[in-house]
Amino acid sequence: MSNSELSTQDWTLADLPIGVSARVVALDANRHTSLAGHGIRPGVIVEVENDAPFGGPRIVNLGFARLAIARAVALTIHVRLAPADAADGSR
Amino acid sequence: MSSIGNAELACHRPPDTEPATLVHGTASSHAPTVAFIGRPNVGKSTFFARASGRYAEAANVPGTTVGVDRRAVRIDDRAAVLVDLPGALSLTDRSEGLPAFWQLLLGAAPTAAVVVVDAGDLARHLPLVLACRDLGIPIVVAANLADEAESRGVEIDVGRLSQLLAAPVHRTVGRRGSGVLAAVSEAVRQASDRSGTGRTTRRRTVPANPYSPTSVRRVTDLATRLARGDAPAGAPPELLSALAAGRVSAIGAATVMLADILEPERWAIAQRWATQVERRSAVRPRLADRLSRQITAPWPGLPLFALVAAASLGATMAVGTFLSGILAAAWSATVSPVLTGVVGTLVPIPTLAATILWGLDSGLFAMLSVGIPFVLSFYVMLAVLEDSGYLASAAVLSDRVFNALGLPGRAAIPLLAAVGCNVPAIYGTRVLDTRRERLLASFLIVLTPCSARSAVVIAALVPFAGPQVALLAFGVVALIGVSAGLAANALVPGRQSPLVLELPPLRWPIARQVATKAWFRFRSFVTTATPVMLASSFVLGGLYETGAIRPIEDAIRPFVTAVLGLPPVAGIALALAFLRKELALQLLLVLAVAEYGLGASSLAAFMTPGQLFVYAVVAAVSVPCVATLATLADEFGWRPALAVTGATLGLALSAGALIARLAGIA
Repeated sequence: MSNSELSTQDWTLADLPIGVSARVVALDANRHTSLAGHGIRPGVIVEVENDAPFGGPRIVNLGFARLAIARAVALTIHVRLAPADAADGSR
Repeated sequence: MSSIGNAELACHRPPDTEPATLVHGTASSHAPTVAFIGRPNVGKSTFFARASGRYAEAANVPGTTVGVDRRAVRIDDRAAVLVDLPGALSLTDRSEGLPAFWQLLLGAAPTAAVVVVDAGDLARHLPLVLACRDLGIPIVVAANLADEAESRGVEIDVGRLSQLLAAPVHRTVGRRGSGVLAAVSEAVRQASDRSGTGRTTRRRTVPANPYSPTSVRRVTDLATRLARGDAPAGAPPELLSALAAGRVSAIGAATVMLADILEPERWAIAQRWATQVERRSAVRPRLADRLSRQITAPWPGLPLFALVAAASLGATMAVGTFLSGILAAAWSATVSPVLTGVVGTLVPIPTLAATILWGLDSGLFAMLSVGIPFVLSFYVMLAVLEDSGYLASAAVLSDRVFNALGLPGRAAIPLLAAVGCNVPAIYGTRVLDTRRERLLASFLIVLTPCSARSAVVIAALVPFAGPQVALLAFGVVALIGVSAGLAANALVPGRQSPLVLELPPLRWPIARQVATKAWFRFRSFVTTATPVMLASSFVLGGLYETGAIRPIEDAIRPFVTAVLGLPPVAGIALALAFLRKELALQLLLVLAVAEYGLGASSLAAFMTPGQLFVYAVVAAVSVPCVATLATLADEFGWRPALAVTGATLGLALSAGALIARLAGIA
């Protein structure tokens, strides 16, 4: 769960480009509860659909569900780029 | 399975007939209780409405069923109490003791539960089913939104899912009512079997236990301790009392307390089971889903947002004005003359008769011509926007803008309502999460001119200074509101919590649901505002008819003339407008005629355009009306209510004084 376990190639959801799938690898403890309740948990595949204007929330696809996640929260979600074939079997 | 046969037939009734008989009065305490449980946006309230024959106040915005709705019904000749619980999100949040969801569920003491899940998104919905099943009460699963799932290319194997869950699963479409009664009558049957024969028939989930041996051991160990009365320190007291009262089993209580270790397992199991029962085929994305993506994108989302906001506000104002005209004309033509005659005959003292007429006649007239038409049309508009799912998207689009004011994008809803009337808008801040957000939003609401205050600005400025000046006045008021909002965000301690919101898909609003929702809210507005309006009109009439306003006028005269540059009568009109905002102008004219004679029957006769501008801005910003103040006090307590009121008065007077200096009238 700690940041030190993550390699330098890991990204947060805040810097994931639009339209690219990634697997959630860890959540910072302080946001864990609210995100986990929405299904953002280690192991799930997410994709950023778009960004709300003026630096607003990121719109994140989790299967058919669409979540609006503020950038401050997206920074606490650590992701790893998903191989193209993994995205299909994720759900 | 005869009841299911009946229920399926019942689904083919015309949609406007009530599928279940409502039992009026209090339900028998022996009737089994069925709880309706589901995540937000799963269409649970529509489902519940189908089951109970009525529509709850709920919105296509996550978590909008506030509180718990109970309905006594008869289904297949069995009496039952149906309980609709708010959308469930987190089962592990321990920041405030037992998570709210469990508190409400245990408080409802259900004998069975219908768990409503999204048939197209089982991976995110089955964890809740597992959690409810672990409680030890019989459950029936409704795989709802089956039509949406199908159009997204998702088919589920209901039989297999039922096997995995060791619970009945029904495929349902809540909007059309298909499958709803079958699911509910099965739950009622299970609930009445259970309450009839005691606990011997209780379904335990041990055979289908999907958890790891470690977790199972921890649960059973804790359950043994709980059963012995040896609860560990920090066990939620609500849970222990539910256990003591027999509303939950020791195992059930243990699974609630160990949610932290069970939840990750539940989500992993759900993921696994979902892939086992789902068959997915590639289909073209639904039109609604494609549109959903468009409306949250900066383009074309932003221009569309402006269009929708302008169109809804315009429609509200147009319908409101139309209704207002009809109601006002009807009142003046029929009720008002009768009322005047009756009061004149019954009350021999002229001053008292006139005062009573201020209250009854003009007070109710104000409700009919200002309050009711605009608020009703706004509520209908709001319900359409909510149920279509557009409002949540708008909240996301505007989130960052409102963040500057310390508010989430959702605050746009009550702020828009404030344009009609501040009172329902302040109640509407309940959609916000924290007290800080609600207080900041209420401050902005109070600074937003309601229809009555807008009417004062328009009527004071358009005829005597032109529409551009009226527009300028609104601009000044908006500037004051935004600056005050920025300042309040900086001054009020605390920080705003960043947004995490599930966006509902776009759906066609159901006319009856929209009507019922608008009606519920409207009714609560009428019952709150009418007594205050009547009482304040009565006081206003008394002050005016008895001449008691003179001393007040003398006291504020120096300030009004020297600082605001206004004639003394304007000061007293502003002060009394606290009782009835829309009367700020009528009062001014009436008082002016009394003071200066009939020559003052036009505003222009005794005030310059500059003075009118100052008057309009001060009237629009200063002190909310008495109904708003009462609502603020009701929601936040008197201290914050008076602080908000004081702040608006300070702002209005400073702005008024500044404008008066700039215009050279003071």
